Amino acid sequence: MSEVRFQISQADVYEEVKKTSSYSGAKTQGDDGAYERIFVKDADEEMLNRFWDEACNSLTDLVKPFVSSTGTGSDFDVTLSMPSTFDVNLQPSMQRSMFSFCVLSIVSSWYDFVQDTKTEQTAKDAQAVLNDVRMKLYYRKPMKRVSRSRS
Amino acid sequence: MAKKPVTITLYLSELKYDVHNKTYLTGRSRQGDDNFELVAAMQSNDDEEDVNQLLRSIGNSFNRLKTELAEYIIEDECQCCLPDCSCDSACDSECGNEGDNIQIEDGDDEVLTICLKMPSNYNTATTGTISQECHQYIVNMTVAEWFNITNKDDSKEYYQMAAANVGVIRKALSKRLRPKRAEV
Repeated sequence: MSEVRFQISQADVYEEVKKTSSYSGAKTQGDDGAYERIFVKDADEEMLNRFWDEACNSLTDLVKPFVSSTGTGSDFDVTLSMPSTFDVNLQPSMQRSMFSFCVLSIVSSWYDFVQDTKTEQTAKDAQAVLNDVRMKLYYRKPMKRVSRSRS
Repeated sequence: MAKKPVTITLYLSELKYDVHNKTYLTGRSRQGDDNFELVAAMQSNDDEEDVNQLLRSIGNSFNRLKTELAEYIIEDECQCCLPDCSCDSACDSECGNEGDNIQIEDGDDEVLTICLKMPSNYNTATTGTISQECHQYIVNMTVAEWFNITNKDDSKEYYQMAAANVGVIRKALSKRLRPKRAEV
Protein backbone atom coordinates (compact mmCIF):
# COMPACT_ATOMS: atom_id res chain seq x y z
CA MET A 1 0.00 0.00 0.00
CA SER A 2 1.17 3.55 -0.64
CA GLU A 3 -0.20 6.72 0.94
CA VAL A 4 -0.99 9.50 -1.52
CA ARG A 5 -2.18 12.94 -0.43
CA PHE A 6 -4.19 15.44 -2.45
CA GLN A 7 -4.63 19.02 -1.29
CA ILE A 8 -6.58 21.69 -3.15
CA SER A 9 -6.74 25.19 -1.77
CA GLN A 10 -10.21 26.70 -1.81
CA ALA A 11 -8.71 30.19 -2.14
CA ASP A 12 -6.66 29.15 -5.20
CA VAL A 13 -9.73 27.64 -6.83
CA TYR A 14 -11.81 30.77 -6.17
CA GLU A 15 -9.03 32.91 -7.64
CA GLU A 16 -9.04 30.79 -10.79
CA VAL A 17 -12.86 30.91 -10.95
CA LYS A 18 -12.72 34.70 -10.79
CA LYS A 19 -10.10 34.86 -13.54
CA THR A 20 -12.06 32.49 -15.77
CA SER A 21 -15.38 34.27 -15.26
CA SER A 22 -13.76 37.66 -15.81
CA TYR A 23 -12.20 36.54 -19.07
CA SER A 24 -15.40 34.83 -20.18
CA GLY A 25 -17.50 37.92 -19.36
CA ALA A 26 -15.12 40.25 -21.17
CA LYS A 27 -15.08 38.09 -24.30
CA THR A 28 -18.85 37.67 -24.55
CA GLN A 29 -20.04 39.57 -27.60
CA GLY A 30 -23.44 41.13 -28.23
CA ASP A 31 -24.36 41.36 -24.57
CA ASP A 32 -23.52 44.67 -22.94
CA GLY A 33 -24.22 43.54 -19.40
CA ALA A 34 -22.35 40.22 -19.75
CA TYR A 35 -19.19 41.23 -17.91
CA GLU A 36 -21.04 42.56 -14.88
CA ARG A 37 -23.30 39.52 -14.81
CA ILE A 38 -20.74 36.75 -15.42
CA PHE A 39 -17.67 38.02 -13.53
CA VAL A 40 -17.53 36.51 -10.02
CA LYS A 41 -16.83 39.23 -7.46
CA ASP A 42 -15.63 38.88 -3.87
CA ALA A 43 -19.18 39.48 -2.71
CA ASP A 44 -20.29 36.35 -4.62
CA GLU A 45 -18.00 34.01 -2.69
CA GLU A 46 -20.70 33.01 -0.26
CA MET A 47 -22.65 31.64 -3.21
CA LEU A 48 -19.58 29.81 -4.46
CA ASN A 49 -19.21 27.92 -1.18
CA ARG A 50 -22.09 25.62 -2.03
CA PHE A 51 -20.61 24.94 -5.48
CA TRP A 52 -17.23 24.30 -3.84
CA ASP A 53 -18.82 21.79 -1.47
CA GLU A 54 -20.51 20.02 -4.39
CA ALA A 55 -17.22 19.78 -6.29
CA CYS A 56 -15.43 18.42 -3.21
CA ASN A 57 -18.22 15.90 -2.69
CA SER A 58 -17.84 14.64 -6.26
CA LEU A 59 -14.10 14.21 -5.75
CA THR A 60 -14.60 12.46 -2.42
CA ASP A 61 -17.13 10.12 -3.99
CA LEU A 62 -14.62 9.27 -6.72
CA VAL A 63 -11.77 8.43 -4.34
CA LYS A 64 -14.04 6.93 -1.64
CA PRO A 65 -12.77 3.32 -1.92
CA PHE A 66 -9.25 4.45 -1.05
CA VAL A 67 -9.76 7.20 1.55
CA SER A 68 -7.67 6.71 4.70
CA SER A 69 -8.05 10.21 6.17
CA THR A 70 -9.52 13.59 5.34
CA GLY A 71 -8.72 17.14 6.43
CA THR A 72 -11.12 19.20 8.50
CA GLY A 73 -10.48 22.68 7.08
CA SER A 74 -12.17 24.43 4.19
CA ASP A 75 -9.57 23.15 1.70
CA PHE A 76 -9.96 19.79 0.00
CA ASP A 77 -7.48 17.55 1.78
CA VAL A 78 -7.60 13.80 1.42
CA THR A 79 -5.09 11.01 1.95
CA LEU A 80 -5.57 7.83 -0.01
CA SER A 81 -4.27 4.39 0.77
CA MET A 82 -3.55 3.08 -2.72
CA PRO A 83 -2.64 -0.45 -3.84
CA SER A 84 1.07 -1.13 -4.25
CA THR A 85 0.58 -1.26 -8.03
CA PHE A 86 -0.75 2.31 -8.17
CA ASP A 87 1.68 4.55 -10.06
CA VAL A 88 2.61 7.34 -7.61
CA ASN A 89 4.16 9.27 -10.50
CA LEU A 90 0.61 10.11 -11.55
CA GLN A 91 -0.07 12.03 -8.34
CA PRO A 92 0.97 15.51 -9.63
CA SER A 93 -1.10 15.08 -12.78
CA MET A 94 -4.10 13.91 -10.77
CA GLN A 95 -3.67 16.85 -8.42
CA ARG A 96 -3.79 19.27 -11.38
CA SER A 97 -6.83 17.52 -12.84
CA MET A 98 -8.62 17.67 -9.49
CA PHE A 99 -7.90 21.39 -9.32
CA SER A 100 -9.23 21.87 -12.86
CA PHE A 101 -12.32 19.85 -12.02
CA CYS A 102 -13.10 22.07 -9.02
CA VAL A 103 -12.70 25.20 -11.14
CA LEU A 104 -14.78 23.89 -14.04
CA SER A 105 -17.46 22.46 -11.78
CA ILE A 106 -17.87 25.76 -9.93
CA VAL A 107 -17.73 27.81 -13.13
CA SER A 108 -20.33 25.53 -14.72
CA SER A 109 -22.67 25.96 -11.74
CA TRP A 110 -22.03 29.70 -11.78
CA TYR A 111 -22.77 29.95 -15.50
CA ASP A 112 -26.01 28.12 -14.89
CA PHE A 113 -26.77 30.63 -12.15
CA VAL A 114 -26.15 33.66 -14.33
CA GLN A 115 -27.75 32.01 -17.37
CA ASP A 116 -24.69 31.94 -19.54
CA THR A 117 -24.76 29.88 -22.74
CA LYS A 118 -21.53 28.06 -21.89
CA THR A 119 -23.04 26.07 -19.01
CA GLU A 120 -23.47 22.77 -20.81
CA GLN A 121 -20.04 22.74 -22.42
CA THR A 122 -18.32 23.67 -19.16
CA ALA A 123 -20.18 20.89 -17.33
CA LYS A 124 -19.03 18.43 -20.01
CA ASP A 125 -15.45 19.65 -19.63
CA ALA A 126 -15.68 19.16 -15.87
CA GLN A 127 -16.89 15.57 -16.36
CA ALA A 128 -14.07 14.89 -18.83
CA VAL A 129 -11.49 16.07 -16.30
CA LEU A 130 -13.13 13.98 -13.57
CA ASN A 131 -12.93 10.98 -15.89
CA ASP A 132 -9.24 11.69 -16.39
CA VAL A 133 -8.76 11.51 -12.61
CA ARG A 134 -10.73 8.25 -12.48
CA MET A 135 -8.61 6.75 -15.27
CA LYS A 136 -5.38 7.53 -13.40
CA LEU A 137 -6.81 6.46 -10.06
CA TYR A 138 -7.50 2.97 -11.40
CA TYR A 139 -4.41 2.60 -13.57
CA ARG A 140 -2.19 -0.21 -12.27
CA LYS A 141 1.48 -0.92 -12.94
CA PRO A 142 2.57 -4.44 -13.80
CA MET A 143 4.10 -6.49 -10.98
CA LYS A 144 7.84 -7.10 -11.03
CA ARG A 145 9.19 -10.63 -11.25
CA VAL A 146 11.62 -11.83 -8.60
CA SER A 147 14.57 -12.90 -10.72
CA ARG A 148 15.68 -16.42 -10.06
CA SER A 149 18.08 -18.67 -11.95
CA ARG A 150 18.50 -22.43 -11.94
CA SER A 151 21.22 -23.44 -9.48
CA MET B 1 15.00 -52.33 -8.85
CA ALA B 2 14.92 -49.21 -6.65
CA LYS B 3 12.24 -46.60 -7.14
CA LYS B 4 13.32 -43.41 -8.90
CA PRO B 5 12.99 -40.31 -6.70
CA VAL B 6 11.70 -37.26 -8.56
CA THR B 7 11.55 -33.88 -6.84
CA ILE B 8 9.32 -31.10 -8.17
CA THR B 9 10.17 -27.71 -6.70
CA LEU B 10 7.74 -24.87 -7.34
CA TYR B 11 8.85 -21.42 -6.25
CA LEU B 12 6.00 -19.41 -4.76
CA SER B 13 7.40 -16.20 -6.26
CA GLU B 14 7.20 -17.71 -9.77
CA LEU B 15 3.62 -18.87 -9.21
CA LYS B 16 2.53 -15.51 -7.84
CA TYR B 17 4.24 -13.53 -10.57
CA ASP B 18 2.60 -15.65 -13.26
CA VAL B 19 -0.82 -15.09 -11.68
CA HIS B 20 -0.17 -11.34 -11.34
CA ASN B 21 1.07 -11.11 -14.92
CA LYS B 22 -1.85 -13.05 -16.42
CA THR B 23 -4.43 -11.02 -14.52
CA TYR B 24 -2.58 -7.79 -15.39
CA LEU B 25 -2.42 -8.57 -19.12
CA THR B 26 -6.04 -9.73 -19.15
CA GLY B 27 -7.10 -6.50 -17.48
CA ARG B 28 -5.03 -4.40 -19.87
CA SER B 29 -6.54 -6.09 -22.90
CA ARG B 30 -10.08 -5.56 -21.55
CA GLN B 31 -9.53 -1.83 -20.88
CA GLY B 32 -12.31 0.31 -22.26
CA ASP B 33 -13.43 3.90 -21.81
CA ASP B 34 -15.65 3.29 -18.83
CA ASN B 35 -14.49 0.14 -17.01
CA PHE B 36 -11.45 1.41 -15.08
CA GLU B 37 -12.70 0.05 -11.74
CA LEU B 38 -13.43 -3.40 -13.16
CA VAL B 39 -10.05 -3.64 -14.85
CA ALA B 40 -8.21 -2.53 -11.71
CA ALA B 41 -10.11 -5.09 -9.62
CA MET B 42 -9.19 -7.79 -12.14
CA GLN B 43 -5.45 -7.06 -11.81
CA SER B 44 -4.10 -8.79 -8.71
CA ASN B 45 -1.29 -7.35 -6.63
CA ASP B 46 0.72 -8.10 -3.50
CA ASP B 47 -1.51 -6.17 -1.10
CA GLU B 48 -2.89 -8.08 1.86
CA GLU B 49 -6.43 -8.83 0.72
CA ASP B 50 -5.32 -9.84 -2.77
CA VAL B 51 -2.39 -11.96 -1.70
CA ASN B 52 -4.43 -13.75 0.98
CA GLN B 53 -6.94 -14.85 -1.65
CA LEU B 54 -4.15 -15.92 -4.02
CA LEU B 55 -2.24 -17.85 -1.35
CA ARG B 56 -5.40 -19.66 -0.32
CA SER B 57 -6.02 -20.64 -3.95
CA ILE B 58 -2.40 -21.64 -4.51
CA GLY B 59 -2.51 -23.81 -1.36
CA ASN B 60 -5.78 -25.44 -2.43
CA SER B 61 -4.51 -26.09 -5.95
CA PHE B 62 -1.26 -27.54 -4.63
CA ASN B 63 -3.20 -29.98 -2.45
CA ARG B 64 -5.46 -30.95 -5.35
CA LEU B 65 -2.35 -31.54 -7.39
CA LYS B 66 -0.98 -33.83 -4.70
CA THR B 67 -4.24 -35.74 -4.81
CA GLU B 68 -3.77 -36.22 -8.55
CA LEU B 69 -0.23 -37.45 -7.94
CA ALA B 70 -1.13 -39.45 -4.83
CA GLU B 71 -0.31 -42.74 -6.51
CA TYR B 72 3.33 -41.73 -6.57
CA ILE B 73 3.50 -39.85 -3.27
CA ILE B 74 4.07 -42.04 -0.28
CA GLU B 75 2.43 -40.19 2.58
CA ASP B 76 3.09 -42.72 5.32
CA GLU B 77 6.75 -41.90 5.41
CA CYS B 78 8.58 -38.62 5.25
CA GLN B 79 9.08 -37.83 1.57
CA CYS B 80 12.47 -36.38 2.25
CA CYS B 81 13.67 -39.69 3.65
CA LEU B 82 13.64 -41.16 0.18
CA PRO B 83 17.07 -42.41 -0.86
CA ASP B 84 18.84 -39.85 -3.09
CA CYS B 85 16.02 -37.34 -2.69
CA SER B 86 17.32 -33.84 -3.34
CA CYS B 87 14.46 -32.16 -1.50
CA ASP B 88 15.83 -30.20 1.43
CA SER B 89 12.55 -28.88 2.80
CA ALA B 90 11.52 -29.54 6.37
CA CYS B 91 8.43 -31.60 5.80
CA ASP B 92 7.14 -32.64 9.21
CA SER B 93 3.57 -31.88 8.23
CA GLU B 94 3.99 -33.55 4.84
CA CYS B 95 4.18 -36.99 6.41
CA GLY B 96 0.43 -37.41 6.16
CA ASN B 97 -0.51 -37.81 9.78
CA GLU B 98 -1.16 -34.13 10.43
CA GLY B 99 -3.50 -31.68 8.76
CA ASP B 100 -4.73 -28.14 9.24
CA ASN B 101 -6.24 -25.25 7.31
CA ILE B 102 -3.44 -22.74 7.83
CA GLN B 103 -2.74 -20.69 4.72
CA ILE B 104 0.62 -21.30 3.07
CA GLU B 105 3.38 -18.89 4.04
CA ASP B 106 4.15 -15.96 1.77
CA GLY B 107 7.73 -15.07 0.83
CA ASP B 108 10.02 -14.87 -2.16
CA ASP B 109 12.03 -17.87 -0.99
CA GLU B 110 9.05 -20.09 -0.15
CA VAL B 111 8.82 -23.27 -2.19
CA LEU B 112 6.19 -25.95 -2.71
CA THR B 113 7.83 -29.33 -3.04
CA ILE B 114 6.49 -32.63 -4.27
CA CYS B 115 8.67 -35.69 -3.93
CA LEU B 116 7.58 -38.60 -6.07
CA LYS B 117 8.61 -42.23 -5.93
CA MET B 118 8.52 -43.33 -9.54
CA PRO B 119 8.94 -46.84 -10.94
CA SER B 120 12.50 -47.73 -11.95
CA ASN B 121 11.58 -47.64 -15.64
CA TYR B 122 10.06 -44.15 -15.44
CA ASN B 123 11.35 -41.94 -18.26
CA THR B 124 12.97 -38.98 -16.48
CA ALA B 125 12.90 -36.99 -19.73
CA THR B 126 9.36 -35.97 -18.80
CA THR B 127 10.32 -34.49 -15.40
CA GLY B 128 10.60 -31.00 -16.91
CA THR B 129 7.15 -31.38 -18.43
CA ILE B 130 5.70 -32.48 -15.09
CA SER B 131 7.28 -29.48 -13.32
CA GLN B 132 6.00 -26.99 -15.88
CA GLU B 133 2.53 -28.51 -15.98
CA CYS B 134 2.34 -28.56 -12.17
CA HIS B 135 3.25 -24.85 -12.21
CA GLN B 136 0.70 -24.18 -14.93
CA TYR B 137 -2.01 -26.19 -13.15
CA ILE B 138 -1.62 -24.16 -9.95
CA VAL B 139 -1.48 -20.88 -11.87
CA ASN B 140 -4.54 -21.71 -13.98
CA MET B 141 -6.56 -22.82 -10.96
CA THR B 142 -5.54 -19.70 -9.03
CA VAL B 143 -6.38 -17.38 -11.92
CA ALA B 144 -9.71 -19.22 -12.41
CA GLU B 145 -10.61 -18.70 -8.75
CA TRP B 146 -9.43 -15.06 -8.90
CA PHE B 147 -11.50 -14.38 -12.01
CA ASN B 148 -14.42 -16.20 -10.41
CA ILE B 149 -14.50 -13.19 -8.08
CA THR B 150 -13.34 -10.38 -10.35
CA ASN B 151 -14.01 -11.34 -13.97
CA LYS B 152 -16.46 -14.23 -14.25
CA ASP B 153 -16.40 -14.32 -18.06
CA ASP B 154 -12.81 -15.59 -18.23
CA SER B 155 -12.94 -17.90 -15.22
CA LYS B 156 -14.32 -20.99 -16.99
CA GLU B 157 -11.50 -21.12 -19.55
CA TYR B 158 -8.86 -21.21 -16.83
CA TYR B 159 -10.64 -24.11 -15.11
CA GLN B 160 -10.61 -25.92 -18.46
CA MET B 161 -6.91 -25.20 -18.97
CA ALA B 162 -6.16 -26.50 -15.47
CA ALA B 163 -8.04 -29.73 -16.29
CA ALA B 164 -5.95 -30.06 -19.45
CA ASN B 165 -2.77 -29.62 -17.38
CA VAL B 166 -3.76 -32.62 -15.23
CA GLY B 167 -4.15 -34.70 -18.38
CA VAL B 168 -0.64 -33.80 -19.53
CA ILE B 169 0.79 -34.56 -16.07
CA ARG B 170 -0.83 -38.01 -16.08
CA LYS B 171 0.51 -38.67 -19.56
CA ALA B 172 4.03 -37.60 -18.59
CA LEU B 173 3.95 -39.71 -15.43
CA SER B 174 3.03 -42.78 -17.44
CA LYS B 175 6.03 -42.60 -19.78
CA ARG B 176 8.28 -45.65 -19.37
CA LEU B 177 11.70 -46.61 -20.70
CA ARG B 178 12.09 -49.54 -23.01
CA PRO B 179 13.66 -52.44 -21.09
CA LYS B 180 17.30 -53.16 -21.80
CA ARG B 181 18.48 -56.67 -22.21
CA ALA B 182 21.10 -57.61 -19.67
CA GLU B 183 24.32 -58.71 -21.30
CA VAL B 184 25.27 -62.24 -20.34
